[in-house]
Amino acid sequence: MEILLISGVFLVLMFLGMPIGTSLGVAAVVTIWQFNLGIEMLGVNFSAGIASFPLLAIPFFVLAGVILERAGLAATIARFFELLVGRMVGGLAVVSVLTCMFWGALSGSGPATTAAVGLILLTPMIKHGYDKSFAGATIANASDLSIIIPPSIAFIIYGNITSVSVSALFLAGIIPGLITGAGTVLVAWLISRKRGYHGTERRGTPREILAALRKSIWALLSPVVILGGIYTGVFTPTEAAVVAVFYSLFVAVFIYHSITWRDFIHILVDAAVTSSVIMFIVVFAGIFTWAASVIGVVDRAAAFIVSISPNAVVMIILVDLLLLALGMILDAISISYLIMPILIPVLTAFHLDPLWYGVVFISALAIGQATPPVGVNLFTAANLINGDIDAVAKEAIPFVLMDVVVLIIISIWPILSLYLPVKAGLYVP
Amino acid sequence: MSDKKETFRIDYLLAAGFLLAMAAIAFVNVLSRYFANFSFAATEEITINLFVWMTVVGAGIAFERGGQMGMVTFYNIFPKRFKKVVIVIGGLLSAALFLVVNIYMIQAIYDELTLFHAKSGALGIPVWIYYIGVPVLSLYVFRGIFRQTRVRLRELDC
Repeated sequence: MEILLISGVFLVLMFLGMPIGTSLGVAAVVTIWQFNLGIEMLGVNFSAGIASFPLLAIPFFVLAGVILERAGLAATIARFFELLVGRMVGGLAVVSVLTCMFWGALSGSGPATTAAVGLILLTPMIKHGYDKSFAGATIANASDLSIIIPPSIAFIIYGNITSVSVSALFLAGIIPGLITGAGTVLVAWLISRKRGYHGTERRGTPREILAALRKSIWALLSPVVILGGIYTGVFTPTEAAVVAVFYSLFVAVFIYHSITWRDFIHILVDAAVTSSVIMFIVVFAGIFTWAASVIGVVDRAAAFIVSISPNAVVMIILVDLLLLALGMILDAISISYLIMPILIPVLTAFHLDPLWYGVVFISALAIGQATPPVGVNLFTAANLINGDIDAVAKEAIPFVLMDVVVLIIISIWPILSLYLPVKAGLYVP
Repeated sequence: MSDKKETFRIDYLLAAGFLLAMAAIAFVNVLSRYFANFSFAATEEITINLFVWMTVVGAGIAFERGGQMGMVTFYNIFPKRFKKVVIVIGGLLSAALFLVVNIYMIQAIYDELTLFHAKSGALGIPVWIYYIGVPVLSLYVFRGIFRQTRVRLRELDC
């Protein structure tokens, strides 16, 4: 009865196409009412669900990303990589993957990366003879990296739900993110070679490369500023995020002279709205999860998962399949709130490391975002090329297969995720 | 990028102002913690409460822009008349959700003013001052939901 009420209301509203936050909120309120869980606390709980210092990292990272985007930094980064590797086979495809990886280190959101990099590189790719669906699929898939490569909003949310250190999660994402990036480059290169996509006509001269490096150095340094502070333990993620905001502002105003006061107000509004969209889901997902756990739904779901198989490997594979499926229809934040509270007791039962599992969990969700039929990144890319989502989806399949191989690799070797955080002294497994 | 004469709407300015204030206070905190010997850490309380206010104003703008995340896979294949029903019910439910939140928020504010008189932990500000932003700024949420519902219904008729 309890399960039917809370999940039934949520699922019906969600499938009808209501906002996810509304669906979660209404299901939670109905449940709290029905079971007398203290509806009079709703107002204060709404406020308390947002007023959290760790979650402040979300608006700050979003703001830093929007500033750098409006300052036109994605173009300078792309130009640098183009001069560096543009001449090799599939040059522009490789450039777009590298730019997405780098942009992922500045921004924490997949669709935002698809849009930022796509606007710059899709036109040159199509002009150089790349199939436009392939170009869209490459960028949509490479944008996944932005939620594995820190800073990542998904990791901040995971840390908020599981109480795992966000700093440790950020560092844990670096090596798996680089491996995924290398895999994506490999797939783009193999397909380009098979189809005869050539690189740009000539290699940049050392002088040109140096000039492009000088122009993009401030952008290229931002991940160092953001992650360096976290790695050395000097800054918490929220502090690193606010430093990133002022660093980006400094670069945009004093180095590139590319934003005005008026632009700055637009930037602030857009960053505030983007953060609110995330927080609207976060706050009602939090109340939803709380209600689900008080009426015992979470415990029963966890007990059910543990009872399926005594084998941890089987459990991980089954949950990964579930995450891949959910990732195709829902955003990473909602899925984290719906699934992670159930998985925490399961991880304990199987003695699995929650930090390592965070990387596996978020990677599985990232794949879903670029998986046919309905990954959000694919939609963004299809819109950018005015193309057919099905055509883009078809081109995305080789990338998704590669992603699954990488997911298996990071699932088998936890050391890949745990090495950096342990080395930095931020985590003891 | 934009016309010189353009003036910004109040809700835009509020959202921008809250975010800027949050970032500025947090930045001063970082500087004072690492480069000076005194701390403004108590002001963290203001930052996180501005975050609540920013979220409410921003949610209103997001509703108006149709920017809230939702799953449209099935919605897109619904017949037109059913779409209209879904749009209206969705608008009503979103508004009802914020209405319920605000009813209990106003109740909490009333209790604070008459019974508890609680002060915030770090700065000693009466907590109702932080709370009151939610019902006041929620007016923008209701407006945003209303405008979005109207626009979507009109688009279906075209």
